[in-house]
Amino acid sequence: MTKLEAVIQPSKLDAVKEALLAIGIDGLTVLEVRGHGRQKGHTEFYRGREYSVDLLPKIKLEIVLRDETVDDVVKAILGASQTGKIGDGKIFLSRIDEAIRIRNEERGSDAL
Amino acid sequence: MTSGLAQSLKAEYLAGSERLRLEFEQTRSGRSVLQGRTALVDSLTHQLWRHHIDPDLSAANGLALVAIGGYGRGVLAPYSDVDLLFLTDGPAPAAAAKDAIRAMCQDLWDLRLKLSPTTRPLEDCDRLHRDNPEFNISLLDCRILAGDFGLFRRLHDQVIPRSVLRDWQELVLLLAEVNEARHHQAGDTIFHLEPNIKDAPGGLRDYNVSCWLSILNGFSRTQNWTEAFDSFPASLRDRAQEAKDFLVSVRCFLHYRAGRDDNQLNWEAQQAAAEAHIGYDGGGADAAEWMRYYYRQARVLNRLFATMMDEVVPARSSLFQQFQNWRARLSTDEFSCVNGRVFLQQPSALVLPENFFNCFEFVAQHGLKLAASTDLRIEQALPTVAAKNLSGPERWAALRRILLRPHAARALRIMQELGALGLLLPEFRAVESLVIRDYYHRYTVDEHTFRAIDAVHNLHPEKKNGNRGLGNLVEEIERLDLLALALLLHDVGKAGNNEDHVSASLEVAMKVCHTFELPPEDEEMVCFLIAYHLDLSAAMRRDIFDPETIQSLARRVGSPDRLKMLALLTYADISAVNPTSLSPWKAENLWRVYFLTANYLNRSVDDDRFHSAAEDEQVARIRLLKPQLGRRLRDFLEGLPQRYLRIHAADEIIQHVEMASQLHSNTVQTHLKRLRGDFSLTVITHDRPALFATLAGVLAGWGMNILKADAFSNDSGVVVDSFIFTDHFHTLEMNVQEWARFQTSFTDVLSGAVPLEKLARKRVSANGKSPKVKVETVLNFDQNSSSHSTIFEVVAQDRPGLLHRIAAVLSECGCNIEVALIDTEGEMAIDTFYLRIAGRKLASEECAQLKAALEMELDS
Repeated sequence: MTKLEAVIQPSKLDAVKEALLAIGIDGLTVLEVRGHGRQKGHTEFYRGREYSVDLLPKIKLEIVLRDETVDDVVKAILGASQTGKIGDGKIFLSRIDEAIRIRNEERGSDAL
Repeated sequence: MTSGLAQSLKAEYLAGSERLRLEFEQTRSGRSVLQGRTALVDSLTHQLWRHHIDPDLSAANGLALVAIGGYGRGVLAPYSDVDLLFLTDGPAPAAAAKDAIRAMCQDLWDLRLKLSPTTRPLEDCDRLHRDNPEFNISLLDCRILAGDFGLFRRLHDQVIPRSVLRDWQELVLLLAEVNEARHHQAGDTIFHLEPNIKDAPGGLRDYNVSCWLSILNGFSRTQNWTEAFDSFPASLRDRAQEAKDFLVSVRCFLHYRAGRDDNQLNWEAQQAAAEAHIGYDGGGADAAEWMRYYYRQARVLNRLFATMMDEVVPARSSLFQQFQNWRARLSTDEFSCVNGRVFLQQPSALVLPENFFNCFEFVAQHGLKLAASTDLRIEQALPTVAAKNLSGPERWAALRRILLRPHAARALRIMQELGALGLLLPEFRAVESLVIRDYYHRYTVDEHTFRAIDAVHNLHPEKKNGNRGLGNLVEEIERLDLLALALLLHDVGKAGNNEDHVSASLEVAMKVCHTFELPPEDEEMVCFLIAYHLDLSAAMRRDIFDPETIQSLARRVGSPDRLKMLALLTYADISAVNPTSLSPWKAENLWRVYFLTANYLNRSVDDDRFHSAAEDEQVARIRLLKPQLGRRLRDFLEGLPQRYLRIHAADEIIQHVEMASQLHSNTVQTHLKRLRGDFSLTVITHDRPALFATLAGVLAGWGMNILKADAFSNDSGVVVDSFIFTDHFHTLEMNVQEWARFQTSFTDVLSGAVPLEKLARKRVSANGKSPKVKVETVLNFDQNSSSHSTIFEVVAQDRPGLLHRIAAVLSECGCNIEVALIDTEGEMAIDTFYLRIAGRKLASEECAQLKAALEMELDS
C-alpha cells in the first residue's frame, strides 16, 4: 500500500476530486493548510498597513492506495492540477505497512 | 435461574415487546408504549425478585428494590436504560444479598435489557454526590418495586426531603450547570436540521429538567413533595404536556426504526415520520411541514425550560447578582428590568405600534429576555397592533431601529416566536423553521439568518476573534441597516424548493424594498448584496493570487463601499452555516480576497474609463429616466472613470449632467446637501492648476473636516469633485442663510476675488486639539498598477486642513491630479492620488522630491 499526499492549489480541489472520482477513487481526506515552497509569497499594503502574504493557502489531500492504482491516481492529480506555474504544489508517496478498518478489523488492502 | 424460568421470562418479554410495537404501529401513541413497557419490566423484576431475593414481594428484610430515573417515572421508551437502585438498610443486608443481587442483574442483562443497577445503603442517599449529581436527581423519580416498604418510606419521606432541603442551592446549581452546558454544546438553539430529540434544546431532557426544577421548587416552598408540574407557568402547562407527548411518540418511532436507543432525528427519519404521521398529521407526508410542527413543540419545551431555570435557579454569585442589579438601572418610563427580564411599566400602552416595537428595540439594545408576563401582554396586544395596518415606511422604520442594535438577532428570535416579526416582514414567514437538506448547514433557514446577523454585530475591531481586518470594516460601513436587511432576506428564496434561491430571494427583496419605499440607491444596495451573496465565496474557490480572479470580482462589485458590505455579508453568511464553517484558513482567505480586490479597485480607476461605445447598465437606466439628456449625457461621461458611475446613483449623475450644462453661464457649479448628519458638496468646473488643493483649502477655511472625497475628470476637461465633510463649528447647521455664502466662496476663491490663505490659516490655528491616537505617516508610490499615472498613497494623522496641505504640495511639485480618492478611518487619513507631470508618469527623482516635500510639510 502507498500513501499519497498532495499539496495543491485550493482552486484545483474540485477538478482533482472529479478526476479521482472518474478513476474510481471516491474516498480521500482533505485538509486546509498554509505553506510555501519556492512560491515565497509577498507583502501587500492595505490602508497604510502591511500584510505579509508569506504563507499561502493550500489544500492537502491524503489517500492510501493499493500499489497498482498509484500511477493512475498520480496521473489524474497531475492532469487536473498542473498549470505549469510556480505554486502548483507537490505530490509525496510513501510506503504504508498496515491498514485496519476499525468497524470490523479488516486488515491490509481490504481495509482501504 | 432455572432454564424453565429463563425461557418463560424471555418469552414474556419478547411477546410483550412485540405486542407494544404492534400497538404503536396501530395507535402511534408513544405514551401507551412507555406505560406498557414499564409494566412489562415491572413484571419481570417482580418475578426475578421472588426467584433470587425473597418469595415475599414485600418482605421487611432491610432490602428494597427501587426504580429510579425514567423507569422510576414510569416512562420506559422501547430501548431506553432501566435504572435500578438496590436500597439497603446499612451494610449488612447488602453483604448478605450480594450474590442474589448479582444473579438477578445477570438475568436481566441476559434478557437484553440495558440495565444500570446500583446498590447503596440508605445513608448514602442522604448526601450530595458532587461528582455524580445525576444520582441525587434520579432519586426524585424513585418508585418502590419490591422489598422493604418501610425502608423505601424512610428514603422517600425523610431522607430525600432532608437531603434536598439541606443541599437545595448546590443541587439546583449543579443541575443548572450540567444543562446549560448541554444547551451550549448544541449551540443554544432548537433549530438543528437533524436534532437529537432527547438531549438537544427543546428535547425531552428539557421537559424532565423542568419537572425536577418544579419538584425542587416545591420542596423549597412546602418542605415536601409536590407534583412534578406544580410550578409550571399556567400558560405553558397544557402546551408542554402536548409537546412532551409528541416527542415521546417520535422517540418510540425512532427506537423501533433503529432497533436501539437512537434519538437522532435525521433526514431519513424525518421523511419516514412525516409519512407515518407520527404525532402530527396536518401536513400530509411533507417532511418540511412535519418538522415545522416539531420545532413548534420543541420551542414550547425550550421556553418551559428557560422559564423554570429563570424562576427556580438562584443567582450563582454575588458578582452575577451585581450584574443583574446593574442591569436594573436600564429601566425607563416604559420598561423595568428585573433580574435580566423586561417588565412593562404601562402594559395598556402596548397596543400602540410604537410602544409595541419599542419593547423589542429595548431587548435588541440591551440583550435582555422578556418576562413571562410581558410575553403574555405582547401576545394579547398583537391582534390590535396587526389591525393598525402599518404602512411600508412605518414598518421599515420599526425594523430598522431593531436591526441596528447590537442584540438585534435576540430581538428578532423573540419577535418571530411571538408572531411580531410577521407584522413587519411577512415575507420571512416562508422560511420559519424551514429545513433545507444540506450536508454543511446545521440550522434551519431562519436560525441561520439570525446567526448571520449576530455574526456582523459581534464582529468588532476590539474583539480579538482572529478575524483581522474584517472587524475594522464594520466600523467603516455607513449602512449597517441595509446590510442587516440584506442578511434577513438573503435566503428567503429557499422556501418553495427553488432551484436558484438567489434569484428567488432577489425577487422577494425587490418587493420588500418597494413596500418599504426605500430610496433607489438603498434598494440597489440591498438587491446587489443579495444577488452577489455567493460571489466572494466563489472567488475564494479560485486562485485568489491570479490577477484575473480579482479583476473579474472587482468588475462585478464596482465600488469599495459595495465590496466592504459584500465582504461582511459573506463573512456573516459563512459563519452562520455551522460553528466551525469559518475556519481561520477561510477567514484569512476572505480577508485576502477583500483587500486584494479593494486595492485593485483603488489602483485601477485611471485605466477603467467610460467610453460611449461600451454598453453600461447604469447609463441605460439614466437614459430611461431622463431621455431628454440625449447627447449631453454621453459628452459628460466620455472619459470619466467607471468608478464614477459605480459610486453615484442615477439621479445624482443626471444632476451632474445638468450642472455641467450650465458651465457656460457660471464656470463653477456647486451643489450642497445634508447627508446623514454630515454634508456633501459637489463642485463641477473646468480643470485648472491646483484646483483640488484650492477646493480643499476653501473647505478648511470654513472649518470643515473632510471625511471622504473623490475627484474625477472627463475627456473634455470637466472636473467632478465631491466632498463629504463634518461641520465642526455648526456654521451650516445653525445658519441656513450661510449655505449660499458658503457655495459662492468657491467661485470667489477660484476666480481670485478672495484670497484663500488668510481664511485657511485662521481656521487651522483655531482647532489645535491633540490627537487621541498617533498615526505614522506612510507614503507609498505605485508605478505598476496604472498604465497612465503614478499612484501615490498617503496615510497620515488626520488634522484640519490636511487635504489642502497635501494637495498644495502636489501642485507645487507640478503634479496634475488625475483622480483623487480620499477616505478617513478614525484619526487616520487614507488618500490615493493618480498623478501625472506633463502628461506622463512621475520619474523616480520626481517621486523622491515629492516625498521629501510632503514629509517636510506634514512634519511642520
